[in-house]
Amino acid sequence: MKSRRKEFNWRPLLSLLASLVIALVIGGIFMLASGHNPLHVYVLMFKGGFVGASNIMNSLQRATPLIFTSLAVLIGFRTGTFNMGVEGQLLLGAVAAAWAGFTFKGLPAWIHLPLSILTAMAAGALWALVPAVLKFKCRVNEIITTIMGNSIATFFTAYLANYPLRENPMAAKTPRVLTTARLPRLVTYSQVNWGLFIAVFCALLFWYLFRRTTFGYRMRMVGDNALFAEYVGINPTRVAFGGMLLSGALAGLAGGVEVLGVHYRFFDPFVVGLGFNGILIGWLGKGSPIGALLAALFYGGMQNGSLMVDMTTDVPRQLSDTVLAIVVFFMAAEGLFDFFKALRRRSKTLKTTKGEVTTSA
Amino acid sequence: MLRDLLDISMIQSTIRMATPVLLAAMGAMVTSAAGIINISLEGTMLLSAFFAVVGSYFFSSVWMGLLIGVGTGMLVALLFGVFSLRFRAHIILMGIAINAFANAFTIYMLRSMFKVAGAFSDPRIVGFDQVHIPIIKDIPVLGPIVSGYAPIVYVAWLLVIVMHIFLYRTPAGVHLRAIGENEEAAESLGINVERVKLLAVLLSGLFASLAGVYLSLGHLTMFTENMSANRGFVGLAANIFGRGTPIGGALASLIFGFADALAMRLQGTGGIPSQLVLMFPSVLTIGILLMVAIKLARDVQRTKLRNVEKALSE
Repeated sequence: MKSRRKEFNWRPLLSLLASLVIALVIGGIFMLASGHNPLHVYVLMFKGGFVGASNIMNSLQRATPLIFTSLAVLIGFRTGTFNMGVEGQLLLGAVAAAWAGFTFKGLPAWIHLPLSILTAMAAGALWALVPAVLKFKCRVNEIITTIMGNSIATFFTAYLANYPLRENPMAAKTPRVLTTARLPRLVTYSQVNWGLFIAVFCALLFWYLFRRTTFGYRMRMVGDNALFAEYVGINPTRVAFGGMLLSGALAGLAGGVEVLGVHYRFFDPFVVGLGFNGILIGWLGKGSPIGALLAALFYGGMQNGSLMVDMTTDVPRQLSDTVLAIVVFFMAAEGLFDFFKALRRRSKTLKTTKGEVTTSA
Repeated sequence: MLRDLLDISMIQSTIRMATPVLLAAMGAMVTSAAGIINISLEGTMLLSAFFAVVGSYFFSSVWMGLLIGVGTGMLVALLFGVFSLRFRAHIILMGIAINAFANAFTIYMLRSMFKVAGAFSDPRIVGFDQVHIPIIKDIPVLGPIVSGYAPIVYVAWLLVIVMHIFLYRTPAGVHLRAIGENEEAAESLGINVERVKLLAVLLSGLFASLAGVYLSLGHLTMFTENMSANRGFVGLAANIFGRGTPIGGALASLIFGFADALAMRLQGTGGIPSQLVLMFPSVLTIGILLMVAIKLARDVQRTKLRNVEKALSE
C-alpha cells in the first residue's frame, strides 16, 4: 500500500493538462475565426469562473449537479456499464422531487426534505431499472436503450409539467416546493446550497467505499475483469445491476438537488446537458471519485466563466461545452502520447544512426 | 381511423423520415460488420447537417452544401478512425465525445456565425430540388409514392442494393465480414485489418454525413439545434433489428420511419398531448431491441438443445 502511494501516477494528470491546452488552442482558433481575441476571452472566462466571491459561489452551484452526474457515470464505468441515461434519470428525479416537495404538506423539514430527496433518488433508480433489466435479463445493449430512455424521459416530464402537474395556464411549471422541502442556501447572493455538501459527501463516500470496503472492491473487480470476479465467487451480474441502480439514484439525486436547492420547481424545458456533461466529466476523473469531484468543480468554474463571457461579449456560452468535448476526445486517445513518444524516439535513433554513418564515412 | 392514417402522404412521409435512419443504419452496418461500435454517427450527422447549411448559404449552391457537409462528415470519421484504431482511444468514449462536441459546437457556431439561437433558415440557403421521374410520376398512386423526393432519398435506397453486393460479392466486403467475425484469423490470412477497418469507418462517415445533409437540405432547408434527434442511435437499432444485413436494415428503417411519420401526424390531431405522442418512436425502438434480444436468446438456446440432442444420439 505504502509503495503504491509513493509512486504517484502522473500520466493521467499530464495527459489531462496536455489535452486541455490542445482544446483551448482549438477553441481559440474558433474564436479567432469569429473575430474575437481568444486570450481576452479566456482571461474573462477564468475571472468569471474563479475570481470573486459571487463568481466562485456560482461556479460551485454549477458544479453541484455535475458532481452527482459524474459520480453516477463513474459507478457505471467501474462496473462495466455505460449509463448514458443520466440525463433522463436526472429529469425524472427532478420532477419527482418537485412533486414530493409540493404535495406532502404539514411535515417538519427534517422529514419532508429527506423524503423529497429520497423520492428523487427512487425515481432515478426506477428509470435506470428499465435498461438494467433489459441488459442483464435480456441482453439488450444499454447504450441505445439509455439514450432512448433520455428522450422518453424528456417528453414524459415535459408532459407532466404541461398537464397533470401544471400550476398555472401561462407557463409549463409545477407549483413551488414548500419551504420545508428546500435545501438551505449558503449565501444570499448565489443559488449555491446545501446540495453542494451532499455532493462532496457522496464523492468522499464513494472514494471510501471503493478504497476500503469489500463492496467497492467487488464493484472494481467486476468492472476490471468480470470473468475473474465470477471465478472468485462474485456474481458480476448482480453487482453490475446494483451499480446501474445506484448510478440512476445518483442521477435522480442530481435532479432533486437542482429542484430543491436551486429552482424550487420543475419546468419545461428543464436544465439541459447536466447528464451529458456528467458522462464527459466522469471520464476525466479516470475512475476516481475524488478525480470526478475535482473535474466537476473545475468544470463548474469553466461553465460559469463561459456564461459570464456570454453576458459581456458575444461569444456563446457553449464555448465551455465545446472545449470539454475536445478535452475528452484527446484524453481518450491513450495511445496518442505513446505515439508521439515513439515518433520522437524513432527520429532520435534515425539521427544517431545517420550520425554514425556520416562519421564512419 | 386506420384508413385515415394510411394515405399516400403518410407513405411519402414514412419514406422521408426513413431515409436518414436508413443511411445511419448503413453506416452502423458497415462498421459493425468490421466489429466496431460506432456511436459517433449521431454527431457526424449533426455536424454535416450544419456545415451543409453553411456551404449552401455562402455559395448559394446546394452542391457546395453537399460537398462541405460530406467533407465535414468524412473529416470527423477520419479523426474517429485514426484515434480509435491507431491511438487506441476508447471507441465508445470517442463516440460520446464526438456527439457532445457536435451538439455544443453547432449551437456555438449557430450563435457566433449567424447570430441566432435555436434554428437558422434563410432564403439564401439552397435546398435540393425534387426529382420527378418521367413517365413514373404520372402513374396514379405509384407516381407520388416513388417520384418527387430529394436525390439523396434515391441514393439511400439504391445504396441498400450496392451495400448488399459490396458485402457479399466483393473481396473488400468479404474481408470486412471476416474481420468482424474473427479478427485474428483474418489477420493471419494476410488481410490488413487496420486499413479495412478505417475504410469501414470512412464509409460510415460518408453515409452519416449524407443523412445529415438530407436533414438540413433535403426536405426542409434549415438547421435546428440537435436536428439529428437521436436518429444516429435509431440507425444503430435499425441495424441490429435488420441483423446486420442491408436489406434487413432497410426494412427496419421503414418501420422506424413509419413510427416517426405516425408521431408527426398524430401530433397535429390534438387528441393526445404531443409530448406523449413524441415518446412513441423511442418506446418502439426499445421494444424492438427487446424483441430481437429475446429471439436471439431463443435461437441460442435452440442450437444448444440441438447440439445436446446430437451428442445424445451419437
